[in-house]
Amino acid sequence: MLKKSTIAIAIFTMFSAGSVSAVMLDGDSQGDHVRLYGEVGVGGHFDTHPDYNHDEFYDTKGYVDDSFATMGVTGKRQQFTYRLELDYQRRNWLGGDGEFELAIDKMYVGYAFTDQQWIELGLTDTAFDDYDHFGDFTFNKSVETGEAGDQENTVKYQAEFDNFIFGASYSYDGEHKSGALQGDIINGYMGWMSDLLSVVVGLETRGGSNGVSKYGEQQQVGFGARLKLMPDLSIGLNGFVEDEDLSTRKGGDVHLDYQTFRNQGLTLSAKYDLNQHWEIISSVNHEEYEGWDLIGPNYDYSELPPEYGKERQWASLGFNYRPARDIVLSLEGRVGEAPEAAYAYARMYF
Amino acid sequence: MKKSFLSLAIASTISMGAFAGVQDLLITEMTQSTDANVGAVEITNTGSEAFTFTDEITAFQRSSGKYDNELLNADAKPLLTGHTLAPGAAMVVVNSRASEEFRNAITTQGGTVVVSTYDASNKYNNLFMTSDDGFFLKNGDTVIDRVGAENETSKWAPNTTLRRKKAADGSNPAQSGTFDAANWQNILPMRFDDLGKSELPAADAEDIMDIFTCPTDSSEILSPSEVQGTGFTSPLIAEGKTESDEKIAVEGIISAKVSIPNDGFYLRNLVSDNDPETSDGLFVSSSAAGDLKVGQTVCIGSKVAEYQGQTQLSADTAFSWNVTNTDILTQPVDIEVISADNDSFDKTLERYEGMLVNLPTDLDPQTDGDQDMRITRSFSYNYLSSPNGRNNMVAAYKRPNLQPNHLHVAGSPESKAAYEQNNDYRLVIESSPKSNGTDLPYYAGFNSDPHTNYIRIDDSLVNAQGVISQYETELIPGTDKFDQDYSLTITNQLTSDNFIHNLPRTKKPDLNDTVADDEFAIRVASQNLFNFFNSPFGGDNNNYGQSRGADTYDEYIHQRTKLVEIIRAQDADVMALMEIENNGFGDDSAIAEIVNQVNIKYVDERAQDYNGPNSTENRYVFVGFDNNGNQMLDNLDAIGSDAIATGIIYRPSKMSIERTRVIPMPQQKAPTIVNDLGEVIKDQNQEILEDGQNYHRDALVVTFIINQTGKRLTLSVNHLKSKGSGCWEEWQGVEFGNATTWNNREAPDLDYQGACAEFRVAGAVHLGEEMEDIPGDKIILGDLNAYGKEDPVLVLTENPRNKTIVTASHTFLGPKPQFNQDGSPVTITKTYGYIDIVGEKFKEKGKTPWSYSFSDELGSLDHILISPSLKDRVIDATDWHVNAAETGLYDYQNSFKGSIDGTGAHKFYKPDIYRASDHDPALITISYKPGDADDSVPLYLPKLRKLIKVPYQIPASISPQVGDVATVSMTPYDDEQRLDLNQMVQPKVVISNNTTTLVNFEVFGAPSAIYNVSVNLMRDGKILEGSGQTFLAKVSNRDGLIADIVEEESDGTGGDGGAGSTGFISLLSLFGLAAMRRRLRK
Repeated sequence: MLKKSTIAIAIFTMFSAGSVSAVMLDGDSQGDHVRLYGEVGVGGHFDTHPDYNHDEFYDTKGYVDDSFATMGVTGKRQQFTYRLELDYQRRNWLGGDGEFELAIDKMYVGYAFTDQQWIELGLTDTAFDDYDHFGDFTFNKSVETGEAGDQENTVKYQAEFDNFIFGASYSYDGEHKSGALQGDIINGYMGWMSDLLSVVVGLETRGGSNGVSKYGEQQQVGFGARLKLMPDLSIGLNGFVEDEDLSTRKGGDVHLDYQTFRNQGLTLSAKYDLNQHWEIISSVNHEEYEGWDLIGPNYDYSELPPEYGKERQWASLGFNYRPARDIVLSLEGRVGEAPEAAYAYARMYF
Repeated sequence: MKKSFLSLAIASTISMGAFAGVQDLLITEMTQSTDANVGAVEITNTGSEAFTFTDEITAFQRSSGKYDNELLNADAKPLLTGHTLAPGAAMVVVNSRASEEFRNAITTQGGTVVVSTYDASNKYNNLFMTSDDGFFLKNGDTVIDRVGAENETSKWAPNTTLRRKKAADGSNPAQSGTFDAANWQNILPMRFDDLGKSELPAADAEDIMDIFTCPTDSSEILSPSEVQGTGFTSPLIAEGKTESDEKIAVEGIISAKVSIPNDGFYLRNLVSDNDPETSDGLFVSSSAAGDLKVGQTVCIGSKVAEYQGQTQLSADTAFSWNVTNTDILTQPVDIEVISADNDSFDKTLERYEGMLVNLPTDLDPQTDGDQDMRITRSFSYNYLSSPNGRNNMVAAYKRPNLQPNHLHVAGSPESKAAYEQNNDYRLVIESSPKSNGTDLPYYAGFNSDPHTNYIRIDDSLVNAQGVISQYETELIPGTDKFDQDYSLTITNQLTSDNFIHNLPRTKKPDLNDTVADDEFAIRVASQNLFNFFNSPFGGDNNNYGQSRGADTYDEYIHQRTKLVEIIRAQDADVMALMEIENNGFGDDSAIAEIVNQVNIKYVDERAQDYNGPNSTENRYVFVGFDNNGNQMLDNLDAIGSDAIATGIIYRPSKMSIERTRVIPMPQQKAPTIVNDLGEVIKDQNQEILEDGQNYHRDALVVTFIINQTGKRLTLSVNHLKSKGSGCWEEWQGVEFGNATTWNNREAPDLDYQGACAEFRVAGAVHLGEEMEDIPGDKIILGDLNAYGKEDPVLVLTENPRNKTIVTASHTFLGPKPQFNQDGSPVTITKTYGYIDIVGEKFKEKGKTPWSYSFSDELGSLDHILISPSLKDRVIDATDWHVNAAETGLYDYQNSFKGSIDGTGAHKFYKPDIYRASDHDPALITISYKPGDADDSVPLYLPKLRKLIKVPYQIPASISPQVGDVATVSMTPYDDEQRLDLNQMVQPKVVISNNTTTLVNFEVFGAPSAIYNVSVNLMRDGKILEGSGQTFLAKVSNRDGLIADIVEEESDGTGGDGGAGSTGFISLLSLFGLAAMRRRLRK
């Protein structure tokens, strides 16, 4: 599921970092404005590994393209905000076909009470989506969390004070990216931001589909932290624990016998800024899914067990090269039980 | 024409061309006894030149005066070909099993030994001389020399050696194609001291006959009781020996002459010694007693032997005894248990070994009540090897034998004690002559009318007379030892008076369904269908290429007829079926065939007949499983991996399906059993001894809602892996060495659970786990292939003695290891709390349940295990002994049943219920009151001709009065459906009796939907406080009689879609702060 959420974060990070690379279509001194923004990215995954593919790729082969483009308009008038964003992305996940599709990724209207607090209504990220990889510095993103991502019918409140951040969202009849019903989704986060140490904790719960899809109820806790050890060196820690109910049986069209699967993952990453243009990023990762556990009570025994067993671990080392503020060239290599050997991407923002 | 001329010409040319010297070959000695190992023939070259045998000279055994069996070597060439016999030398042909010692002795005496060849594929090529055989040599087509008259069929040379005498002139005798006994010296008993020596006795050599003469000094003559003594063995046999050193003289009167279990006659004391601790009878093993008559007095000289536990004399010839031609009748003696027996029935029988006895109605007058002999195996084949394989019965003292694990935990001291007691109490009931398999020589009434004069298990056998013997019966698994059992060979003619039916045949099960007012009973049954296969007779094919059922169309119709009768007779509302062909659920499936045939009788359609025996309300449907998910019920929906499957049929008038599922059961995928060299070991049938791949039948699980209630009742129908097969566990610890074949019956069975006990535990654990997720009342029923206190049943019920119960190794659910990834077994400490309700109800009645008879032991393999939640509703439960108690002669099969009449039936067949299967059905009745419901389950109110009955259970706190008015109001639960309610009639009911606790509103015309129902009681126009009730009711058509797929509805485990505060609270569980939520479910 790249990757919508990954990109969104990239953009979010860019904005929050005070990027002004978006094209200002209109603006005035009151702060009212209309901006066009977006990105074009070309690249993908090299030497993807069939033994280690959980649901990362629609196919495993020498090169799985993951090119991506997005374009959006965001604006503000008085206290009201809005945003419309279109993604042109590959259906690149297990069961997908790898073809491009055009999708509306965001469509919301917001209202800013103050500069520190605002709400958004419509199709947008759920609150926790903004911080679910907070402690993961890698460009490719490492351990995938199961949080809800973008949802329609969402009400989101966010607040950002000097150090304290908070967000919560409610989504009615939430859906998996595949379109399958997941039930109402509530999630939120709370964090402390400072130059030295930043910490975010996120929570999510969903109501389940009551037999309509394989998704039952779910709870998740996520955790992210960044620590600036030296001016040029930061380390991050990102993890999640999830209890997700999934159907273990189907009768006709009805999903039955939901059982709770506990999934958890942890990423420890580090980023070193060589200079203005170069970053070195590395990570070590661990993730385990109860569904992979051959001995677990809910293992789907119509399937052969995954090659990597009930958990997988890998490490990565990569470089980001930023020839300009709005260009990123990224290269990453992975070792261990990783679903791919390397990742290379060139991305330009506007 | 020309060809035969030609071949004649060639033949004569060849035989003409045969060698000089052939006329010098002479059969010079022959010896044979009942033991073929010492049967031998000596051939001497009397000529002056060496003689080399070619294919022309062939040796034959003349077997039993009937068959010419040519002796061949391993290459299927004449046995003697290639052998050279020096002038004056002798060769001795011996049996392939002749001992080394025997052969060496012949060689030492100067003879050449030729060992004949045993070849299983051509077994009559071995020299096998057993006292009724002869021998001859052929040159080409001409018999040149012969010993033994050509057509002599009697045991003419028992224990005998014959030596060729010289001619009168002292020269060597001439060859002779015919046998003249005068030319032979007869030596009895046989001697081996001359075998291999070529000298012949003189023409006038006397026969050497060891002829017994009864001593004149009567003090040298023993009585049978003196030979028997008081112990299990004769005092005349030294410790550690099986035979006395010396011959003794024994005199007695012949009390009986029978051929079963061994050929011979029985002597009894001339005068009883009046010592109850010694037997006054003694068996004389002899095949030469043809001329002896019962009542004669015989004085016999013989060594005393202990043979297979029996003290006996033996005599190969009539020269061993002197006969006094008396005619003295022997009165049979009542067998009586005495205190000196110390509760050992073997000891009792030992005191009567060799005696003519009678089975009285009370063997133990010292104890209250009648202790008699009970039939514990009905007339059937005993599955022993030759010569003891035959059809007979087994009785047991006081009660039929129960399988040791039936009432006692497998492996417990009590179970071992029960095993010992079964061995102790066993008495094999034999006939003489041997039964032909369909007739009982001692029971003419049975032979002429077996349907009236039936014999069943648990019949008391009284006043049967006969002689008591003892012999080896079954191989004890995992050993090379055999059980030794006493037998009674019946000598008098019996009638139905001799068989007292303690469990007489009944036409329907003795099962109580009495319920309280307003309640109704649901009857659940389980029936094994005895491999009902319809694919060879027009049914759908199964995917396994097997047909285990009827062999002919006649058999098929008979099988089906009996099964239909037994299903109807049980009158169950829902029935679990085992051993039905696994050919899916199409119109031509076996289960459809059975249901259709059963339903034929249910034709009365009028409402007034609804409670009648032939009402259409009694019709069944089967539960189909769309196992391949193609939304069609057809022959492709076979379940599991076996040619037989389980099934469920039910009456839609009584219950409705809520959901169905198949629980795939664990498979064993263990290593193949190999020897120390890694070679695969085969069994005695050349099949792989144990390939490690083993399967259960998958469990069928159906959740019903009982109509007029909201009560769930889940049935899980099971048929676990059988005891008679083999699993990996059986062979652990067995030392195979380099053996490549192994008798599969030799698997040890120390706790009497049979094969695959651990694998059945694995199945029980999986079943228990899967069933835990199912809400409501549950019944596990079917053939668990485990007796009442065996491990799988302990797992599903309780394990009060904390027996260590271990699963099989290498069990898998699909590719998933069931327990440990390395395949190692686990010890099961969790039990699932089900109640063995048949056992419990029988215990209340002071009876013992059983549903199956194996060998001569009874037990229940077919169980009804109920969840504790159901216990208070149980009215009664029972086994119905309609099958297992009966002899297999009554079943549908035609083979081994004698002549078949014009209708294709054997004389034991009748279109009735008896022996419809080999397992007895188990049944249970459960009570319900209309309106009972599980939490959040709507009442199921099926329509019959647009009419439903809405039950109103008046709250206990309300005392209704005559004249009160009960009202009902139904509104659709889902407004969006916009139902047409114009026709709906919601009546008021006036209370006519102030003891009324239940009102049934006959509501007409309610469309199928879920309704909110509100009921209350009005008095004087006002609602009585506390009388009102509201509940949900599901109004629907009944489950159809035509196969239809029931779509499952959400089971409520998938969340309700809303993520409220409970969701957030449960988030705490992620930190371990709150109770671990649903994780505990598993």
